Amino acid sequence: MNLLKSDKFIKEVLSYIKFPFDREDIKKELEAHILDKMEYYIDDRGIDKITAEELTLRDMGDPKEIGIALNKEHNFILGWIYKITNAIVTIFLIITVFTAGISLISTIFSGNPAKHISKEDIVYDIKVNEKVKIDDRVIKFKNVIYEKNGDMNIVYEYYDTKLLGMGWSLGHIGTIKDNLGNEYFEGSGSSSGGIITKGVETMNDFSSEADTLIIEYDMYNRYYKVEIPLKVGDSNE
Amino acid sequence: MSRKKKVVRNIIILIVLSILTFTRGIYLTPIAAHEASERSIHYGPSKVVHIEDFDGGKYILCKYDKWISCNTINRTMYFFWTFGNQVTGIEVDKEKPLNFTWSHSNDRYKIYGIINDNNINRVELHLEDGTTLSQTKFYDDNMFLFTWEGESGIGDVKAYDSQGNILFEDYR
Amino acid sequence: MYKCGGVVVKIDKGLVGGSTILLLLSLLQEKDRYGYEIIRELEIRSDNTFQFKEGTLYPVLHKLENMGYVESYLSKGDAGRERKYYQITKRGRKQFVEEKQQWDIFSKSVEKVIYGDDHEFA
Repeated sequence: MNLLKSDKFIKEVLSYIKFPFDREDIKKELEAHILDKMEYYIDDRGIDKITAEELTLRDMGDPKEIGIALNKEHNFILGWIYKITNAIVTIFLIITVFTAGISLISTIFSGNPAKHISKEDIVYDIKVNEKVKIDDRVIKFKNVIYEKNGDMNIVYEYYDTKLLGMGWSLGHIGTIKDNLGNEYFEGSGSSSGGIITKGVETMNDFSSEADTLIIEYDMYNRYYKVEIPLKVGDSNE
Repeated sequence: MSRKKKVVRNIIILIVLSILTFTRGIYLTPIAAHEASERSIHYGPSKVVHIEDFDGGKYILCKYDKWISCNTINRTMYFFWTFGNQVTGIEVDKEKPLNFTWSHSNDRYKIYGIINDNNINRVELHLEDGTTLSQTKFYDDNMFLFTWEGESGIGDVKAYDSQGNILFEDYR
Repeated sequence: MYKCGGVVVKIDKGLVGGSTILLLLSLLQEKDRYGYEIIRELEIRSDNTFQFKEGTLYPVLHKLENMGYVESYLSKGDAGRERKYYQITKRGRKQFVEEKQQWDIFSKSVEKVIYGDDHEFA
């Protein structure tokens, strides 16, 4: 405002406001009021600008009294606690969104763990979609892919139902057998993921005559058995 | 909302976010961490027979069904606890007078086991450097645990009865 | 200032003591208002009986906000400058009802004392 006396008045009021961050708002509120009152004197009462300002400031009252009373309502300590907690919450929210985002993104983008198998090598790819649960872990067997070179791939994923825990990854999906009594040992395996871990276990030299793949987990009193019927004979896609 | 209410709201948000962020993998007590660790690896729940401190964590000696284990729990962020390692254990073979197993990480060794022959009243561990550790009072009547630090490996384990006869020995 | 037998007398230096909150809440429960508007309305309705040191209104308004009786927001209104408007809250409306009841009881009691039981002014 280019009204010197009003500026001085407001400045004096503000000098009693100890918490600095509230001063600007108070300044604006008082300015608006002063301008409104001056407008009244000038427009409605036909008074000149200089006198209008004097009358207005007289009407406003004692700046010290106003400042002290306002300061009571703008507690210094509460103001700082507010500012600090706001800042911490903001930082926290950014961190939370960031870490949750990373988990989500790695889950979405981890894609198909069996994508390295090219289509020409596949004898058959059977959708399984069987779900088992041990303790808090849910394991889904998605599909099995049998390759021309005799590799049998079991594609699976799992997640922990107690989301908050960061637990041990699943060591072992179980013993792999076929209906002919053969037992297979993991040739290779891999898994990755954020919230949902996706993995594939590959067995070498899987029998082409077996018609059922059996996954059996029996450890420390936890048990599940999944039997997967296989296609025997012709090479489908 | 008044400023006071906003501050209260902020504090509540901070508490909730703190719980979500910091309690991932972190527990208030060693037992809570131990139980969570066991469940996560699909073992137990064991019965705890003895807890022993080491610098930075605790060993938790347990029995579960036909197995024994000695889980390690680590201290983190000064006040809290987190998973360690060697959560699962070995199956008890009652045919043998004594079953034991051992492990070693970062210059810290532990040997633990269970006594199946009631006549055994003393278990001795001889280290490579000549030190002897022994135990005569067993946990839950029949379990023992030796822990030590340093570079010295295991020499052998011997078990005696009250007359001093050797009922079990195993060389490493 | 009030007119008493033709003489204009100042009531008090600041705002009118205990009934200030009642007066402000009463104006705000009709509609949202900004500071200067409240002052004008008080003067108009009281036939200029209530005239205040205008600046002293703001500590009271800020106090009402701290107590949760009103909330504030900025608005340009009907083509004007940006002003801080005050809006009564649910808590504020409850408080208004309570204070109004108390005022009714108080003013009736005063009248009973002054005028005696026969004359009851509604």
